[in-house]
Amino acid sequence: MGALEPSTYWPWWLGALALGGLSVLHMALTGKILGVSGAWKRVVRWRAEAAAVEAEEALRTQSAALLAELEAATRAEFGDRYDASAPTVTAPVTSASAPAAAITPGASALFLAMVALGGAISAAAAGRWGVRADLGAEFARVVASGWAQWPALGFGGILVGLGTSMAGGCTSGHGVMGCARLQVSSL
Amino acid sequence: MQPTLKIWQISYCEADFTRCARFQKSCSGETVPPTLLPNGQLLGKK
Repeated sequence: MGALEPSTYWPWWLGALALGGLSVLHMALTGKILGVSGAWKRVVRWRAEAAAVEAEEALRTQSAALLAELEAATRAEFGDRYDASAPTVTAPVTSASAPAAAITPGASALFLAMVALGGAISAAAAGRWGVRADLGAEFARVVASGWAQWPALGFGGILVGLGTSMAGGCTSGHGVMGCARLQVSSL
Repeated sequence: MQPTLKIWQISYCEADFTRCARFQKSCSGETVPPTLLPNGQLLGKK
């Protein structure tokens, strides 16, 4: 095994401060955890996200009419089997009615674009910017070289996508945010 | 499904289902009454 090459990346403590600070800022501004795979999911599912936003807006602006429709459908389905002690419509018994503001697919797309731009700026500042046709000596040694590296990279990307979808997050969502918040699933 | 009911399904089932009162009650192990609406309101006899 060859010796490790000297790192040209940021010092570990500077990277930690930057990533931690960004995560805290993101949580403070949006109330949501920072997650790259979550952002990708919102972009890929932009139609479903747009439908959810429209539905939420409809529930907010036409609540009485929509509630009446749901009430009528519920009575039609379940007949007269109600708890006689319950009033017709009561105040919400849970905290189920007020959703947090959603991050739009557009905002997520902008976030992802900025991640790529930040990487490009960092590479340029370190003198490492440039278009390459290979993925480095280490990738060639461990995975594949030549033309085979590209389908290998693509297959790896598919596995990452499947894995983050099943796990509900990636290294940013679970590794940074989840572990910092002592979430059991992340730990 | 009626478009107006679909709005409820999109909002409380397909989007953030964790805020659905029926989902929350089912997670607690209790029986979910048909009178419990997703937004936490209860229906009673007319």
